[in-house]
Amino acid sequence: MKNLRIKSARAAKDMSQEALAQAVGVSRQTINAIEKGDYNPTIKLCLAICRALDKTLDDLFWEE
Amino acid sequence: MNDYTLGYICGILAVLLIAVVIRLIFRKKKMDCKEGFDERQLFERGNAYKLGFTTFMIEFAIYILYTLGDFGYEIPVEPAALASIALFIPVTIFCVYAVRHDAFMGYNATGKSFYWLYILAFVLNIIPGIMSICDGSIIENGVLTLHSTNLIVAIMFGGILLALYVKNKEDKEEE
Repeated sequence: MKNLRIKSARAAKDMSQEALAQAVGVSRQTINAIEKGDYNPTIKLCLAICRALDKTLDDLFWEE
Repeated sequence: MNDYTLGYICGILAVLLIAVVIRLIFRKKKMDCKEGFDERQLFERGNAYKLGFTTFMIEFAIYILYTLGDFGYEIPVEPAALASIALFIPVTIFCVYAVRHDAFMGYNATGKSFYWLYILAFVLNIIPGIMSICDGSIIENGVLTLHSTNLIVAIMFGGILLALYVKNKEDKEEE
């Protein structure tokens, strides 16, 4: 399932996939795979993404 | 032991030595600039290793079945050349899978050094490969000889280069 919340949070901070990838220490393709729902990140990477985007885990990853 | 076999063994030892030196340099660099693979890349590399290993097992299973059965058919390949082919197919599969899943190079790697290294390896192997086709040493009495190794290695590097080129193009379009 696509994760549009990361994409919109990234866009709100005016960050490219490349910039977010560099901020959290992964490849751009990994961020792309997470946004497309092709890869489930570990909790460590989820937390790094949340910190980079100033969001909580619930904001970006919790599904109702 | 003839000159070619001696040269072949020396070549393998030289490649192993170069690989160890490159590995040591990379290990040192890794400590300095934190170059490496991210968690998804490590996962995909695991899948690539699994695929390569499975291919290797299938190849040997087929070969065992072939040697056990009496099919009245001789494989027209020298044993050493057959072993080379059996070795390079899984390696190519591993590399192409890793390239396709963005797990071939670390996330900080630019890729340019890889390109040049692989182009160099391709050229250094395709030249003796073509020469062995021209002088007819690649096939003797209808059997593929050990002289085909350069050509096999060149095909492997050519395949990896092609995969890198296609992936690079796809990534640029995606961006």
